[in-house]
Amino acid sequence: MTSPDGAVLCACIGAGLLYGLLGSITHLRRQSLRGDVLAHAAWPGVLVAFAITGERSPLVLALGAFVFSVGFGLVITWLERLFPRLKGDGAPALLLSGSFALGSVLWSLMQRHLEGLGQAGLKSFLLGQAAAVQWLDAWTLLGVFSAAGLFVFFLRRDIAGILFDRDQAFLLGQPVLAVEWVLDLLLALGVVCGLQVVGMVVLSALLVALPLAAMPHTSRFGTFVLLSTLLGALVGLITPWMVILLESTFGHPGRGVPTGPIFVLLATLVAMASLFGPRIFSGPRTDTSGIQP
Amino acid sequence: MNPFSGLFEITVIGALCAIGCGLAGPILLLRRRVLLGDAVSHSVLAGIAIAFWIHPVVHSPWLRLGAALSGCCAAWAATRLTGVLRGRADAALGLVFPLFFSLGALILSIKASNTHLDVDQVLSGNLECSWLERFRFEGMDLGPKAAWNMLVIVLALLMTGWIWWRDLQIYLFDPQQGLILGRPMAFLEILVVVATTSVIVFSFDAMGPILLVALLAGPGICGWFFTRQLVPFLLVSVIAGLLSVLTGVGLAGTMDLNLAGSIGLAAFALALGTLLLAPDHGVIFRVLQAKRARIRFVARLLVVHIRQHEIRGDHARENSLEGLCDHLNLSEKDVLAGASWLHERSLADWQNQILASTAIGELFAKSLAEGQEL
Repeated sequence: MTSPDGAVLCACIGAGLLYGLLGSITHLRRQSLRGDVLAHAAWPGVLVAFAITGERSPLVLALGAFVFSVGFGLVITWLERLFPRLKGDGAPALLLSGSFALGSVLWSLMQRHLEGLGQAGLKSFLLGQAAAVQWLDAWTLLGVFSAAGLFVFFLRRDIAGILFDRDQAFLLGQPVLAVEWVLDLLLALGVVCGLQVVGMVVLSALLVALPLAAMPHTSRFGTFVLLSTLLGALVGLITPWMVILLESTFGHPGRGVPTGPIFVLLATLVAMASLFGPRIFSGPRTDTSGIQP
Repeated sequence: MNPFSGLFEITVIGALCAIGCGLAGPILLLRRRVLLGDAVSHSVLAGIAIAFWIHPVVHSPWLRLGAALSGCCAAWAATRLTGVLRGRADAALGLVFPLFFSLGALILSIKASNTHLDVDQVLSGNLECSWLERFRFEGMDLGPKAAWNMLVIVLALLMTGWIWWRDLQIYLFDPQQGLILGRPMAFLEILVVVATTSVIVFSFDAMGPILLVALLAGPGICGWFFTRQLVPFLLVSVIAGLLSVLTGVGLAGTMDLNLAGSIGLAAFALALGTLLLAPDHGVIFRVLQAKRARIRFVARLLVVHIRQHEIRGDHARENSLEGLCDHLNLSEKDVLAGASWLHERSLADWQNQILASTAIGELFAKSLAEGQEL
């Protein structure tokens, strides 16, 4: 059995680590679908960046995507605060459809007005191309992970306080708005960096599945985040080997097994096993509301 | 063929989809599950892939059946999982839809990678081409198939709603109460899942996932913020859906834009406008209300304050405009607004640049100071 490509392996582990970490926090903030919405919001951002600069380099496109993701994330937060009945799904759904409709309209405008607009560079930016992963992608994911990891590690007390009792955190004088703002930025950064490597669906699946896998086994905030991150790394480690195993079983020459779906299936399997299987650690059965700071 | 017939039929299809989504959107909004639209439209890929695996023909009704079945399965699984996760509908949806989508993508890539079933094409449904597939009966052309499908769905939806109207209301607003009353809430849950999923699957087939979510969320939000009862809610939502389809088609026609995108943008703009203008919850209403509350507060403060100085006897010096601004730490504008509030209710008046309370104002101030509302 051949061993997997080093870059692919590192990118998978990086994605697992990053989305395990970010996912555990978005899960506790009750924003599980935020990643999916931000990924959709990147589409008009990519188009605007291309229309303004006329360049196709990943950095420029990623910058546009990042600006739009952060902007739409802010609008969602603002709408949810202003209209509590839209919390959780109304506001995200509205912004998801709005941003993608904006993207489609921009796309049809650009197809008419800009010469030589090939579909290749821009569309693949959104859908991800796991087969063509390079070392740069892997290092980007690992870099974003270490930045997010350091932030969460050093501010773990503040973050835990804010996540579990926001009003209390305000009273204690913790920097609530600043921390929430940085967490939003980190999520948008993680989404935009992963978009090119793993794609929209894999990214939103990992953001949801990994914290759900960690959730039933612990009632401590720190353990929860750590477990979610480590499970992400584990799934990321197994995925490339699994792909090779499947390819040697089902594959034909020139027809590979895609990495993304395997990643999603494994992560969902781990989550399902945790939710419905026996507890690993002893102790009472816990749920989201059982996790304490 | 008449060149306008295509556009007309597209508008009819869009309008029927808007009616279906306008009926389903409020139900999903009230159950906090609008993103089910996005989730189900990704999940149909699993059914399509399995149907294609069993019966590899690109344009067969089996694909549609598979899509509908797997959409229903995903919606049902998400509903059950929401119970396991103690009400976290977002997490349940987020776990289920990538699973179905990935399953579909995997099966397609292993079993069908050299056919023309393009994932991208399946998922981005095309309103511009939806009228091309005709419904023929004994050689007669009876119009586009998508329109007939949606018409049947809408009629079935109205019928279902009419039969189970009471229980539906109880289910949407207070399912626990329904259980206590012994109403069949579990059945209603299945009914609502099947009904919303069939709307989603069939309108998704005609117009793609993004427009679908836009027509579920946008008009639904319009209805929610303008009404207080379920029937007007549904009506406003359907009307808003129709309005956004007509605007979108007009916009796309005049400026040659993507049809789904411009309808989606119209729905989005309509919803944002609602959030701005709606009574009770709208942004403008709330700003005005806050302003009124502030003036009312300042006026009450003023009347107690001037009455205090009148009793002490130093009102000639203290109750001038500058004195009041200085003492209460208020801007001149606020004091003047408060004074005119008092004047309108003949509680106080400006006399020689001094704010003096009237007889009623004295009583008002006394009752305020004693903590009684007048």
